[in-house]
Amino acid sequence: MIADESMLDVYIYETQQLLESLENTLFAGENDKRLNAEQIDEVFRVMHTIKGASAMMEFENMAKLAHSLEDMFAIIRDNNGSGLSEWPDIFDVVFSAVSYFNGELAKLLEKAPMDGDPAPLMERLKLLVARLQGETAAAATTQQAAPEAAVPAAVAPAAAKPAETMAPAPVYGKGEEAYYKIKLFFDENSQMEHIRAFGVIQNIKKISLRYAHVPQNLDTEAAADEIRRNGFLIFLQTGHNPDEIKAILDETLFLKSCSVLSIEGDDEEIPVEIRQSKEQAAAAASGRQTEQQAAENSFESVAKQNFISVNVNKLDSLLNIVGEIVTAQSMVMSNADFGSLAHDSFDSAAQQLHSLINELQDIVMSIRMIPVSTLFQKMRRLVRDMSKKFGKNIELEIIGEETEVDKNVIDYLSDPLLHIIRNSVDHGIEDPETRKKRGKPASGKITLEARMTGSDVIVTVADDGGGLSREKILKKASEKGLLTKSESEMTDKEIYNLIFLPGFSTKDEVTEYSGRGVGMDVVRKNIGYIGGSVTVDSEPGKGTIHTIRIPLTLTIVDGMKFNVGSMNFIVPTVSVRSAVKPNVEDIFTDPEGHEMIMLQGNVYSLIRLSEFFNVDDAVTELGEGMIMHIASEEKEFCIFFDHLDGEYQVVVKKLPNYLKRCSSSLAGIGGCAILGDGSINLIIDVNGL
Amino acid sequence: MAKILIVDDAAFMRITIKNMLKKSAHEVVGEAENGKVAIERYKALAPDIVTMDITMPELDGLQALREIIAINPSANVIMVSAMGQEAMVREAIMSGAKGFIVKPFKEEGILSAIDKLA
Repeated sequence: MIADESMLDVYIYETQQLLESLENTLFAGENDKRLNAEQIDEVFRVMHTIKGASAMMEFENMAKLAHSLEDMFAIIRDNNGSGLSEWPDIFDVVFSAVSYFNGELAKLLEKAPMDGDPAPLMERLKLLVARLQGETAAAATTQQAAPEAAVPAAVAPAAAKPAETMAPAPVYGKGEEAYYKIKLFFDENSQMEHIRAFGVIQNIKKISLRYAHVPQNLDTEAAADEIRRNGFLIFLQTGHNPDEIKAILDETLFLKSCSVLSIEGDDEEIPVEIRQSKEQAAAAASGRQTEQQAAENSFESVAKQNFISVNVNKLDSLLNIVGEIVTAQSMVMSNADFGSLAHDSFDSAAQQLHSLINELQDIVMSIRMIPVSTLFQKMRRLVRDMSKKFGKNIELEIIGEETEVDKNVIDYLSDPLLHIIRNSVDHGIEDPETRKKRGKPASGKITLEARMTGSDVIVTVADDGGGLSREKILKKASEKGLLTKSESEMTDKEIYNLIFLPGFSTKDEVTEYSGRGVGMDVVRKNIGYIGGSVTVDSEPGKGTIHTIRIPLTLTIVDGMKFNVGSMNFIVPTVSVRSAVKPNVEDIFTDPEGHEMIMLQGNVYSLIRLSEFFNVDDAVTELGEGMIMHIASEEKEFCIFFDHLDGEYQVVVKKLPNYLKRCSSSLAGIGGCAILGDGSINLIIDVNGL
Repeated sequence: MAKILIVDDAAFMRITIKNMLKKSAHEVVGEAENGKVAIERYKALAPDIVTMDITMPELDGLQALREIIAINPSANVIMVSAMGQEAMVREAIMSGAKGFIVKPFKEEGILSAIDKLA
């Protein structure tokens, strides 16, 4: 089948959704060490849907694996799933399968070849199914044959009458009715030909006195093969004429050809075993239901669909456009052509436009909000897999998973969270013996929490492990020359936060999950992309807590504009405490040569932006420039610049990639913004200064 | 030209079938994501042909089929099945389904089935 893009999108989207809900079901079940009947049904259904959709898309491996899982769950379902000793293995294999599916989908998204080999998984499944069948066979009494047992309880009574599906081998003796031989073929690739034949018999039965068919047994795949090769033969005795018979046969779907021949009752061709049979004739067509009128005109309104799924790219462009509108709006409002003219009615119209655009912006942002639950659930999986691997017993507590954040945030938050949690499991939480020695419960605990505070979303990851080692961090940092102050000057928190510096990593050993040389600096960088910040705090022996702070709205921020020489900068207003003309006497140089400033009784280090960014034409006389007091969770300092331009609402643009490539250091710059007057402004990354 | 109701819990399958029928003379008049909705839509839309997935939450395709046949004994319902569902399909045929189609199917497949019943 040639799939167009939109179908592929839907396929990926829906399959991912299914896998996600499946994973949640598995987690819920794993607590009870088994799945209940409803959950088993759900797994079965999910696999069935993935099988069908993957087969339609011609993703053979995915379809095959889903099919095997579906089969396994059919067996589990028929055994009610109770008392199975295989549950741990079942959970493991299904989790692995979910990973496999997700991996393949990820490749599909990247347009990479879907080359994951399902064979090892299929092998595990096969062994597991063999064990399950051993168990079910032992548990079950006699009853149905295995493959047919896939009938749910609701329809079982009807299915339990196999006699109906077997030809009541007729006697070909004298009678008023004539005998016919029918031979028919189904379309190639119509599949399940034995069931199609069964369907034909259901219709033929209604018009015949007696009938028989070859192959006689329509219950097996082998029958389908035979029908494919030799066609399906029906012998019947009926009072209906050949045209009527043909008309009935013609209703059959996927009928390729069919012939109706009149024959003698004792025709040699009729299978011997059927000819010799002495059974009573089956009752002929009767009790055919009379047709009722279709339901009275029912004007029942069709239930409305309240949700639609939208490609996130469309939302991205919508957001972009809103950003452009904000920019365009400020271009109009502060247009130089107005000069000093009085324009009251324009102002009020502009004010209205402004509030409408704000509203539009809010709505667009809210559309993009999704709960962090999906992300958090992913972590559950990670903790589960890793704690197994490391032989640690770790419980993950999730709080506030309904907290909503922008779709982009989820994307950027995923890797940092993974990294932090890996660290907590690998390095943070001790093994059970050590924990016992330290008088802690044997099983460790990681708490993952999201909450909203005013303009920020705060995500914390806390573990009750050994905590960070102040000494080790200091040693490492000084070895690597990462210390900028003397040890005695640093607070514990400042020391802990050294781990976010590039090139810092205290664990020498490399494991599959953590310590691949990608350090916590990547965590900081990723979170920095979305304008967030990350800090860590720790209490020796008690545990470590990472705090990630992310602004609610990512792309449109309020900022203070100022300039340094000919360069324009914007600093997010949230970080600004004050901006003043400095008192030159308050500025002094410490013994190490750093410039410091005394502000409201406190001493802060002073950064001259002209030096930091190498700007030549900037003011150097302290008395001529301005000081801005800046504070984030981690640092507080002052910057020295030329002059302040006022407050603006700006649309944050990422720095173009080519800039990132050609300049080795973009420290201190978080992005850029184009203002209404067309000027390009660099947005200061406060934590990078 | 026939009015068609597509019943499947997977949006992907609904879209697939819809796309396949786009070029045909038939008109998809409605979709339903489970058996319950299917029955409602059947009553409201009176379609000529229903394509009915078997495995669905809420109310499965077999039960929905029975309900629809109870409403209209000559209703044209085509089951959309998959390998491994032989027993269910048998049930469906005994309950009055006009036939079935097996996933994965191609455009020609579903069109030939629908054309036959239209």
